[in-house]
Amino acid sequence: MSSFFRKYQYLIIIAFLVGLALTVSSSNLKDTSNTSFLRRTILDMYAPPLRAVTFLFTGVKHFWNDYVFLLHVRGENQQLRTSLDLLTEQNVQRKELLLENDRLRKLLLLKERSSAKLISAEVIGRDAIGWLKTILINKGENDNVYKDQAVVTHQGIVGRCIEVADTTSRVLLLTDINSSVDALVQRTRSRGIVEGTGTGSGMCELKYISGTDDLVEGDLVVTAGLCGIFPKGLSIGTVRTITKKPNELFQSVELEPSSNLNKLEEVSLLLPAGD
Amino acid sequence: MRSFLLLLVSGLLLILFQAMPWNVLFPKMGTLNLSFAFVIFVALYCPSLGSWFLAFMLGYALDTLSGCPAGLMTMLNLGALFFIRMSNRIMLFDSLASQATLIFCLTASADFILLVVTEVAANNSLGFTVSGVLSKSVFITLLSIPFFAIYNKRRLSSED
Repeated sequence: MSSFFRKYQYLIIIAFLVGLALTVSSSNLKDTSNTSFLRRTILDMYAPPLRAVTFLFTGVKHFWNDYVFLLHVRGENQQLRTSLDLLTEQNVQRKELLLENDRLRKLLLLKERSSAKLISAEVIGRDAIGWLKTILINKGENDNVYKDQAVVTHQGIVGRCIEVADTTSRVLLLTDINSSVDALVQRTRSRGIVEGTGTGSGMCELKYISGTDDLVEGDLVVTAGLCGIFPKGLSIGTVRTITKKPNELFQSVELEPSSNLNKLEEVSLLLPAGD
Repeated sequence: MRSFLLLLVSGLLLILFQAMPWNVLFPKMGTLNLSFAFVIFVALYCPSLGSWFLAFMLGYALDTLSGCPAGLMTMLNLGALFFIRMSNRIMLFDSLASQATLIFCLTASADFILLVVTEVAANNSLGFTVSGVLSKSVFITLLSIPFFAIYNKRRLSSED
């Protein structure tokens, strides 16, 4: 027996490793609800060095941008002050509309939307392969993060948590091929699904929009709130190109995400209303 | 054992580099799978049984730190190792040109398989897929060449 093992030890060990890899692969296909212990351990093990590296690199970047690379600051400052004044004026007008909306809702006895609570998180890593669009954040189960939790920025939605360890989580970005979000065109109220394309362009595709719907470039697309992950009304992106073919039922719409998914540094995770 | 641990730590640090600093330094370039080139290096220069365990562990770590299906990178690493070991019976990858060709072909094949399995290839044009894969493979090969050249030189001088 031992001579047999010694003679074929290479083949036996290689067969064992291949079998183990196949087992890992098939067990992941069977049960995707929980992250396995080994994967959680590896994610938690990589979290501290990733945080340290992120801290170092963002520190250098901020130092360069804030102290060294100070070209055209004065002109930019003036432009920003002008934009701020304009936005302040618009904000006042919007507040008025919001108050009016609240009054009208009360009148119609509509249920008031409660504002969601947020957990802030820092992006500590990106997908290690590059073809797939995922990020690692520095919050996990210990911080009340759970699978399929919505991830947003102040500009719009980012994605959802697909894997949660104790102190780290993986977020599937909106632009990933496996991502899909139910959506609504704010102006026309047309319903569709926003799916990632997986390309490096950082764009998404709005699918199942009827060819008769009147969409234009610049239309805002928001979440429809039907999938149970994202509440209704969060910004997804802006329509960039529309392609209508005469014999096709649906038009092809390319969407630019509201959040800059290539330069994410901080994100927020939405807690359900009532938490 | 010491060299195995050294290679393992180097591979894990390379994966750490892929996950974060690379994207900060080269945000528009897209992440390159340098750890795969590292596995090819191990396959060529470390013919021991430990290289199989190393390929498995690096593949598992990469699976965990990326969004690819679990087990895929592990299988690709083991597959690359198997291919190189079988090919070594027919031809030796002694010259830098043969090593560069091997790296290019294997990284391109691995990327194609990854894109097909994850359905990225099905949802994008052939041109995008082919150009993306080939350009990444070229960059990985170019980045690997200096390391292989230095290691070849050191191996030749130690043999002399």
